[in-house]
Formats: sequence, structure tokens, C-alpha cells
Amino acid sequence: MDTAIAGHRCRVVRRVTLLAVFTLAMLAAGLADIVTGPSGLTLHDLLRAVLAPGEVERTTAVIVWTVRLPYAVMALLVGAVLGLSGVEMQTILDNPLASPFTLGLSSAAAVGASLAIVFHLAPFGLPESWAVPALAFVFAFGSMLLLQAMARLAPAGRETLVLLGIALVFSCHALVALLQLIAPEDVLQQLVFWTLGSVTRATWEKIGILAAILALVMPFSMAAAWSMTVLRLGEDRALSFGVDVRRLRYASLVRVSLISSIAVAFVGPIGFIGLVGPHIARMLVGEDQRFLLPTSAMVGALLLSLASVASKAIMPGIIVPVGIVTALVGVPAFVLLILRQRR
Amino acid sequence: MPTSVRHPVMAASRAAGAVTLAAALFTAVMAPASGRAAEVVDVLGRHVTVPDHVERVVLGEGRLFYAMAVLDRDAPFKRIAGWQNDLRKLDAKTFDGYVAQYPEAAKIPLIGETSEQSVSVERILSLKPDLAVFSISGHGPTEHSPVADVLAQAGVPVVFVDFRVHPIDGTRQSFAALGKALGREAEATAYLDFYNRHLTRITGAVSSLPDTARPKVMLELLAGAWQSPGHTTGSGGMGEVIAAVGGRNIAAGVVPGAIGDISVEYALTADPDVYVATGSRNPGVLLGAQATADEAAKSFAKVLARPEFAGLRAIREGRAHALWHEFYNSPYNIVAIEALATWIHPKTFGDVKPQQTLQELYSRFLPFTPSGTYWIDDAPKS
Repeated sequence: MDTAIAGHRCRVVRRVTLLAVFTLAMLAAGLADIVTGPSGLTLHDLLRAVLAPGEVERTTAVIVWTVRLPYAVMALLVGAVLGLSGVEMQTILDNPLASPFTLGLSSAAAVGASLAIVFHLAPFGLPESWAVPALAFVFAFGSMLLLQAMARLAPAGRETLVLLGIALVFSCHALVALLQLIAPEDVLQQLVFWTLGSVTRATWEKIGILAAILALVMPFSMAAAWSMTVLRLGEDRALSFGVDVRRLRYASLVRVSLISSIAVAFVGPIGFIGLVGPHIARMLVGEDQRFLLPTSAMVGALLLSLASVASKAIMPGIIVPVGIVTALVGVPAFVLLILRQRR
Repeated sequence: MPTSVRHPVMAASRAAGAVTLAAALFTAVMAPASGRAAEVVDVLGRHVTVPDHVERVVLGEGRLFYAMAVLDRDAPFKRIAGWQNDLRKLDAKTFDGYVAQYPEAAKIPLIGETSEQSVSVERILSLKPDLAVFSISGHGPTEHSPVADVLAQAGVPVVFVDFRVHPIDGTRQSFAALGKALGREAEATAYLDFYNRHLTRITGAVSSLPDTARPKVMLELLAGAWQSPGHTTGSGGMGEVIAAVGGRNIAAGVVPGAIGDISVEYALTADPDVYVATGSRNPGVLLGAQATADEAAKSFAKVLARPEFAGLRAIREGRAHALWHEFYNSPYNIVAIEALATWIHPKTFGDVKPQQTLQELYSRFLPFTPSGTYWIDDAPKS
């Protein structure tokens, strides 16, 4: 008995230590993201621009406050959102290949964004820099509500959801392709650009919104952690524990849809992180969702932040879209972990 | 990590508030600099204030240099502080010619590769430009791109030009705007006089033609190099040029957007009177700087032999011609306009000589010696 408690304590200490290490790693990656860039600003310039933007050259202040800081913070935030959403998706769909975008969320967002770009739509009189994310969000979140409604009509659980999601993905891809076909020359490039995903659309207002929503959703995710852990043991077992699986799934899907829709709306679809972040986190802390949820969010933040650093470093002075880099950065770490597990 | 926060909403709104406050403070200290000189109206109708002596210019598309070369003829690369890499990548032979004559062209810092998403705004800012010139469409940053927005915050004036969406009016407006922004009004006016003189000779003769007197034209973009046959443009871009020189583009009204592929079957049924292929590289028609007439003719013959279109009446009867592809995005499009006019209305424009116009363009306005083949008048009859 004592050894069991000691073992448990040991595990908890190990996990808490891991969380602390990850927090530091995340901060370090964020800092690296802030200090790297093609203009070769010195640390001294950077600090002065952060502490007293009025006293440095205007260009320097803009580089720090409009480019580096928002991009770096946005990368951390979006990475965290994708990591958290990914792990929730994999749990509720009981599918290791699930990601925040499995059910067509990013494809639906792309339809909304493309409509706004091609037809210059400005709902609620929003300026273009807000109209595109607004419509992307409406479509992404709307598509999830539609999916939920349809899944309710069908008897079965997660398989129905996945199949309907796949149908949605294909329909949205077709719609986006159609919009690209009728797009005039001056917006065609913007459409392609949007679908690549990039943190260069970050602004402080968008960061504020995303941070607020993430801070709102995270406690609810944490509150559901115990039920989610039980669900990992299997649906029947969870039911016998008295977990309302249907409701758990529904609530989780609403959370994931909300935060992922906003993230996609602001930075476009960034792949890989939502799929692999959770796996890396699982290898590190196991299935206990109380630890898995925050670790997965941190892994996501760390991956996207490192990808953001790499996107500037691969070809100096030129940005390689971060959506492309995420896999290049994440795969080696992922493969290493898998090989270690096999041993 | 606590499993619950007492007031998540309050915490979140405080964070958001702090962030917004920081942003507001930042904006407040970034008051605009003074001492502005010229006010330029760009192709989007924006009124842009440009400083008096622009010395460092960043080009959002490398190919915008085609216009810069006319305005800064004596030292074409002197004011270019940075550009995108599309000139080197998409028109390599021309670029090599530039470098042979002006080695410094190879050392101009890159702000990106050939796409908007590769452009680093921080890189642009670090080059300390007095002015950024962007195209309203194409391979570089456009009107509402984050790049343009950040530059605006940094007080770097951005002038938008256009040589491809509306090639004719765009060229005129862009030159007027650039001439003013760069303090080169005289050069811009001289070029526009030359441009308009050659243009009105053609448009004046065909503007009142009824549809029945307008030959049907099929313009195949990057024929043989594009992945599928029938790649073309609708009413914008080169489609606009075809209409201006008195032709009827068979794809106008069929291709809804900027570009699209018409089906082979449609092209055959439309039965165009004139076929024009554009090309620059293998495996299509080899045209442009350093391309020899012989290379061009051989590559064109290969393109015309493709089974899809070999049976077209226009090709069978020898009314098939080829044009350098990059004319679609260049102020030198006046040469293409003349070439197209002579092909579409050979009787009306028997005295129009595009080759002389090209010579005039180089001898009067450009610091380079022309080399290469830019169009093919006569294709071998099959």
C-alpha cells in the first residue's frame, strides 16, 4: 500500500516537474522567436523598444511591437489551442488520427474566408482585415453546429460524426476550388495565401480575443478531465462510472469548435500540431487527462513557436510559411519519441 | 495547474484589456513623421504622401523593375533597396542580361521568393525604404496583406501599381504615379507619350468595329508548358488587350475569373480565326531575352503539333502566332499590343511595325541592349 502511494507520488512529482520544464521551454522558444529576425536588432535595441517604444527609432518600434511580439505571442497561443483541441478530439472520437480539423472545421473556415475575399463581403460593416476572420469563424463554428445537429438525428456516436465530418471536408474543398476558379486576378493570390496558414496576420486585438477565449475554455476542459480519463478506458466503462458520454462529447466538441474556429479564423489552417502534439504529450505524461490536457497545450505552443523561429531561419530574410515548417520541426521530435517508446 | 479558475471571464478580460492598452500606448507614441512632399494617387485611388527625395525603394514584385528601368534609366538599380525574387525565377534570361551589364543587380537584397507568403515584412523594414511599390495582384503583397498594413504603421508609404489586371489603363496610371513618387515626371510623361502614340494609332482604327468585323481570337497562355491544354484568360488581363486591338477573345464570358482552362472541345467548336500562344520556357514556346529565332520557331512547331489543337482552322491556315508570356505583366506591353493588332487585322495594320517599336523602346527608354526573340509572326503552315 505504502509503495503504491509512494509510486503515485513519484509519478505526480515527475509530471509536475515535466510541466515546469515545458513552461520554461515554451518561454525560451517564445523568447527565441522574439529575438530572431532578418533585421539583426541587438538585444539592447529590443529591450529598449519593449520598455520605451517612444525612445527608439520608429522602424525599430514597429518591428518589435507590430511584427515580432505579436507573431511570437500568436504562435504560442495558436499552438496551445491546437494542442488542447487535438487531444480533446482524439479522446472524444477515440481515434489517434483525429485532429482539430478532422471534422472539416478548417475546410469550412476556408469557405468563409474565400467568400469574404472573393466577394469583398463586409458583414456588420467590418473592415477587410476583420471581415475575413469573422466569416471564417462563422463558417467554421456554424459547420460544427450543423454537424452536431445531424449527428443527433443519427443513432450511433462517433463513427457517424467522423463520416459526416469527412463529407463536410470534401464539400468545402470543392466550394473553395470553385471560388478559386471564379476569382479575379487580384484576389486569387490572397486565397492561396490564406489556405497556407501564417502567423503574420497577428494583431494585438486578435491576440486579446484568442487569449480571452482560451482562458475561458481551459477551466471547462480541466473540469472535464476526470470524465475524459474514464472515457479513455472505453465507452462502456465510462457509462458504468456514471459518465454521461453523449453530453461529455457534445460539450467537448463545442469547446474545441469554439477555440479552433477562432484560431483558424485568425491564422488560417496550420496542420500537424493538433495531430501530433497530443501524441508527444501522451508519451511524456500518459493518459491522465489532468496532466495530458495542459501538457498537450504546452507541446503545441512549443512546436508552433519553434516552427515560427525555423520559418525565419531556413532562408534568412524570407519567410517559409509556418504551416509548412510545423511538420519539418515536429517530425524529428516525434520519431525520436516513438523510437524511444519501442525500446 | 489549477483545475478551476474562480472568475475565468474576469481574468481573461483583464488580460485582453492589458493587451489593448499596450497596443493603444504603442500607437500613441508612433506619431507620423513630418516633412512630406508629393501626394501621389495610385491605381487604387489612394492618396499617398511620398517624401521628397526617395532614395531607397522596395519592389513588391521583382518584375516591377521593368517600369523602374524606364524611370531610372541612367542608374536603373541605384534606388532599389530590395525586391522579390520573381524576376530571377520567372524571367531568368532577362535577369542574367541585367547582371551582365550591372553586376550590382545580383546583390540586391531579397524580401521574399516568388510568392506573397514568403515576404518578410521585417526584412522590408530593416532595409529602411523611403517607398514601397506593390502590385495590386500577382506574386507579391497586395492591398490588404498584413505586409502593407505593417508598413503603413511604420510610416513607409506604399504605392500600388498595376500592369496585369488592366494592362493598358494600369500602365498609364502606374507610370503617372511612379513618375511623381520618384521625382521622374519628365521621364514618365515621355514614356506615356510614346505609349499613347502607338496605342491610339491602333485603338482609333478598331474601336467602332461591330462584333462581326472582329476576328475570333484564341489566346493560349503558356501553351505546352501548362499542365493542360486550353489555359487562357477571360475578359481581364490579356483579354482586355485582345478587345482593345479589335479582336474577340473566345474565352471572354466563358472563363469567369482571372484564369481558367477552356475545354478542347469548346475551343474547337468556337473555331477561332487567330490562334496566339504565349510562352517563355520549356516545354512550351521558348521566347524572351537570349532566345534565338531558330529555338523559338522549333519550340513553337512542337507546341502547334499537339494533337488537341493541331486541327484548328487558325493553325491549319497559318494564322498561328506566339508572344512572350511576360508581356502580360509589363509596361512594355505596347509591343505586344502592336504585334497582336497586326495578326488580328493584318490589312488595317499593314504599316504597323512592332520590331521598330521595340527598337524605339530600347533606344529611347531603356539602358539595355535588346537580345532575344519576343514574338513569332509566321508559323509554318501544315
